[in-house]
Amino acid sequence: MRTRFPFIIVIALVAATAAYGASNFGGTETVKADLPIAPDGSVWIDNPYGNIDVVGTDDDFVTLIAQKIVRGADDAAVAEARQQTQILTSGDERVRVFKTQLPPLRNARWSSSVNYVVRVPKAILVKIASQSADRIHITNLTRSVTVKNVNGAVVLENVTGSAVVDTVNGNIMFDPNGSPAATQLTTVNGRIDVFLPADASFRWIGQTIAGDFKTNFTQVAGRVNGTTFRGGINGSRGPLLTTASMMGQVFLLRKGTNPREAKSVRAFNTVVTTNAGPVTLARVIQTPFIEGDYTYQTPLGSVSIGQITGNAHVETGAGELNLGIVKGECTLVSLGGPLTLGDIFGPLNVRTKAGDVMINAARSGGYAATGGGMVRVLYAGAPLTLHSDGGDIIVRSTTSAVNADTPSGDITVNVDGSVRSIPLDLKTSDGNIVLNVSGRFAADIDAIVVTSDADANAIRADFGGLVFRRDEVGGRTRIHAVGKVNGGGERVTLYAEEGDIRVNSGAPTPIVSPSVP
Amino acid sequence: MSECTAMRESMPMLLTESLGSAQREAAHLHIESCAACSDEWSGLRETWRLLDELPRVEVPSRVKDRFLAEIGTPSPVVVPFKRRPAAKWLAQAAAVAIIAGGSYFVGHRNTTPTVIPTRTAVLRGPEVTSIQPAAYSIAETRTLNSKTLSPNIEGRPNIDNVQFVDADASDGQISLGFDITQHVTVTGAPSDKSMVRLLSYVMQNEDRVSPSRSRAIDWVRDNYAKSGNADPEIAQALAKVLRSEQHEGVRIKAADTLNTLAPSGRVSSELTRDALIDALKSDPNPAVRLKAVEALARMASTGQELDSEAIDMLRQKASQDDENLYVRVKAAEALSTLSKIRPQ
Repeated sequence: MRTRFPFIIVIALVAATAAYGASNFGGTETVKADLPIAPDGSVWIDNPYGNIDVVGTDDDFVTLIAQKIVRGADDAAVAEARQQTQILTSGDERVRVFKTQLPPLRNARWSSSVNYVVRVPKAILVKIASQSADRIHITNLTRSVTVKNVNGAVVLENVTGSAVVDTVNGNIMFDPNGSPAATQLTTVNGRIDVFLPADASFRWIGQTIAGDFKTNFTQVAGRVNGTTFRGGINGSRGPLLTTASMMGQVFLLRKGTNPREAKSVRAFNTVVTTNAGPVTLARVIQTPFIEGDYTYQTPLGSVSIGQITGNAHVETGAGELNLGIVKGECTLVSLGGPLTLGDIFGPLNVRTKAGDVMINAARSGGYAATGGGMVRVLYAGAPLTLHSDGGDIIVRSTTSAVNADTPSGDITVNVDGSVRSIPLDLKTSDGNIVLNVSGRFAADIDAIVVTSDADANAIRADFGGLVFRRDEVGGRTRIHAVGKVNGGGERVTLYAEEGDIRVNSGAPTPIVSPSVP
Repeated sequence: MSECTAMRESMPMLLTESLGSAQREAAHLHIESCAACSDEWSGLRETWRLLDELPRVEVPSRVKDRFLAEIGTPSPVVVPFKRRPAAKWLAQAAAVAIIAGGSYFVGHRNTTPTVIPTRTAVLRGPEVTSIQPAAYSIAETRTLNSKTLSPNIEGRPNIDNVQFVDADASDGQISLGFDITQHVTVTGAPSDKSMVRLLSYVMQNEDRVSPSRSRAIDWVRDNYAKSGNADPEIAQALAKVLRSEQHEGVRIKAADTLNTLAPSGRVSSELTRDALIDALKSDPNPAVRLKAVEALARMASTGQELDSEAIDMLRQKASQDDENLYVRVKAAEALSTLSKIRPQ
């Protein structure tokens, strides 16, 4: 029995594999055409899905070989795929257009792609548009080449004319087999490799926000300013090579050399670096524990640290900052990205230009601000100032003064039940203010609501002793409540436009600002 | 004293709402704390009010004549009209005849014919002493089931005091209360068309103040993130808020909520995507743009088709030098997800 069990599994696997294979149908279909073209004509290829190979020849006509590959769940799906995947040719001798036509909405039961091999006279213009391919390979052309795609590598070999490549996720490899003409290579997430003769002289502009510019040329001069390098190779003369990879690396290599020899342009004495971060831009710093102070600055990077026993000072051009426990002062600056903080014992000074700010405990208070997003503090143990340029502000529990303002959003503050009196200054230019306090909370309350809908908005308080006053000015109603609660105490200033103010203490019947002046 | 003088000089501007918000608040605070200025302010407001209420007084004829004589206006040539006695008598008789005839006609048409009962009923039961309640009252609160309501909202009714209630989270029912001509509470499943339309109306109602919209958006996020409750009209309403709302806090919430909603049809996806692209392209607040990028990335990761316009916008944002760096990184990350989900 023991010996037969694996055999049964093998049989079952084979059967399942065979059944799976049988359930997927497919086929190929090849189209071939020879078309005349003018010596200075152009070829446009628009192929959403599939590889494209363009080869320059000495002929005076274009040879198109298009292989349609279809897959489907059954014969009907395959037939539908074959019918709805059309290879179209149009144009004249000046412009030849090859296009794969797909329906705007495809049945999920089939898929298709078309692989193109196009042989063209080497002196014509070539333009290619693609969505997704394993590769787009262009070789042996002497005039302008333009490629735009989303996914898939773009390889340009022996292209001596100007080249423009714009891809989203694809890597770019460019080898002009000589000195380059004006060339512009752009990718968002891919890597760029350029191979040039050792004696080639040209100007080079490179851009990246998460990668680096590396080369094994020996004569490099220029300036790195932030995310941009402007300089040149071998004397900075000749055509302009522009390389931009937002998230990937850029390699400029002497032909026939090892890419591992390449080093960052920042390492050259002849390259001036200004306003730049570290040589290698780390995307994420993750450390569980740091003894003592911690200071880190990066133009791009996320930081996640479990505990810092000293002061923390982190600045990032963009990134998510996440600190668990900070025993000392905490200073964080992000030009974009959320801030998430755990238990902060020292004073806070944190701000981001965009993103939410979440703080578990601000034991020594401080300042937190965002250019847009929510600010949420679970516990504030000392005076705290909070600001958002758009978003709600929430303080779950505070034992000390809170100063909060937002141009658009609600403000909610819960005062700890053990607190008798603390100063509060809460202001929203469009939203509600909710203040929850204990029944014995004492304060000099000064609350103002300015509203264009006096029936909808009001000041509601669970305390007696407030004097309400109502003014109608310029089409808006201004409700002002002033008074001492529980004998008076620290000043509590509340201001809300187009919203309610509620001061809750859990009393059964709240006092509401009267609707009649 | 000099402060009082300055305050009194600014009172006319305060009265006409011409002061800035800070000056306005400072003026109000001073008026409330200064008895003299408070009296002055009250008097000024009263004067302003009385100016509107004063009756228009006719100019006495002798003053008018003297004025006209002084400016040399020639007196008009007027021939006095004199009635003839016979015509006056005839007119009076005709008026009496018309009034009498009309009264008879009206009275004759509206008289209910008296029906003589064939048998007189005799009440033998106990005498009714309690007063029956009226069928309705002015302060009535009505609770309606959303299934009994027409999903079409006629006109643009004023909906105030909007309240959202989910008394029992497990029963799959939600309640939306509001004041219209009376307080109405509509109860039903989130997916009921009437409930969807009501929520969409509350979110898009530009005539009302935005806190209602803000609460409505929070409510939508809590109740419509589940795929079973997804509805294209909710997505359309959020897209409209994202485009037209002037307050960035509400726009952030709208973009964030669009990010959490389950896909609900192709048209809805297109509208959502277009609104997100517009926000990414032109919203001045970086947090809104950030939320738009995250929402587009989620659309891509859940298999919803991003067209070339969306891809180009993300590509542009990833490469745009003056864009917030974090937005650029997020745009690049959104684009990188495309390589994992697009068909070959």
